[in-house]
Amino acid sequence: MPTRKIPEWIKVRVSEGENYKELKQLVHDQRLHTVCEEAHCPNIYDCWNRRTATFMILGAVCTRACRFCAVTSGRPTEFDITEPLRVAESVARLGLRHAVITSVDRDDLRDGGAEIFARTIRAIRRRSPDTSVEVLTPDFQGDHDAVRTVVEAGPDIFNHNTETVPRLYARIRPKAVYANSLGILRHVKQLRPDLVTKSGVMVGLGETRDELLQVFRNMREHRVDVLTVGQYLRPSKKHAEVLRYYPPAEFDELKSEALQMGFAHVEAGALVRSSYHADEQIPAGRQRLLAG
Amino acid sequence: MDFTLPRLSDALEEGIVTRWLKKPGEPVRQGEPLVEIETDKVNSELEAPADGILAEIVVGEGETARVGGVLARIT
Repeated sequence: MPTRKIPEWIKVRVSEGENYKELKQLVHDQRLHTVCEEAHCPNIYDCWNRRTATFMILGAVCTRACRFCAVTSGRPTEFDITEPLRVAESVARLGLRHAVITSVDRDDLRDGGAEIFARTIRAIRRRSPDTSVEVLTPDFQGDHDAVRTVVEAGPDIFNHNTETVPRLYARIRPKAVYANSLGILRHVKQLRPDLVTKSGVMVGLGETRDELLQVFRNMREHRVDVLTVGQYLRPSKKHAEVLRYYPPAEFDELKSEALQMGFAHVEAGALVRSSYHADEQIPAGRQRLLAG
Repeated sequence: MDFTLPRLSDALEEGIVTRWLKKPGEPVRQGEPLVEIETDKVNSELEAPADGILAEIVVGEGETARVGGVLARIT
């Protein structure tokens, strides 16, 4: 047996089933982007075969160049006010129960793209009133007005990832500020206490366990409801190296520590991504809020 | 037919065959896991593209396969 660099538990089944093919065609026909493709997500076969996808709005070029991310970095030119309608059309055609909308960072736009987020949420609501909508937003450079624009459009879940521990921001997320990310999550709850908030981190970038637990505590201080924890996987040799692969048992431990801190729902595992099985996370988040 | 390594992601150039799940001469069914390939990010299990017999393994365990290259032949 040859020596593996990647542990055996990090395994996916490549299966281009009918649903996968249909989704690929639809995304192409509607000139849309998905984070599934742009970020080379290993779960793409699993999710697309289950007819779930995460749409990436505001184009496919990001103004940032985070060291973990495979999305193209550069100077974006795309600003398409018909994009929200095309996303809504695709959500309807796929018959999604739960739609996840994310975007590239658009530090070049005055509102960071918040208005397009809001229009996308409203367009999905009009076209598919029974579909729940989750947004996974950029940090809007800490701009609370941008956060308000998105929150007022009424998503069911507001997700913003801190991605890693603050000590590693300079190396991994150089243009981001940890306090801004936490500030966004706090502001969402101030605006709408009943809105489910969610955040996530990648592990394996050199963080310590104490640092991770401190991030979880910071999230809970800002009443974050749902947490996702997944293994960082290097998209290419140009990206940050994986410094450690966490074994499955360690994800279980992190999950149980996080649940003790009061999160309503925690997804932790090697292949967990922030929108992976997101449709299954809503009930837990909601129940917890209803229970007060 | 040739069983080739698909472009699993835009940046992928090559992968390492880590395990064949069938031996030459064994029957395979379309959609059944046939081989494990280690790429930059993950271990990917590829499915047999058609029913038939795994006639020949072209890229053995521990060897590198190029995207588009023939991994095995199925008759």
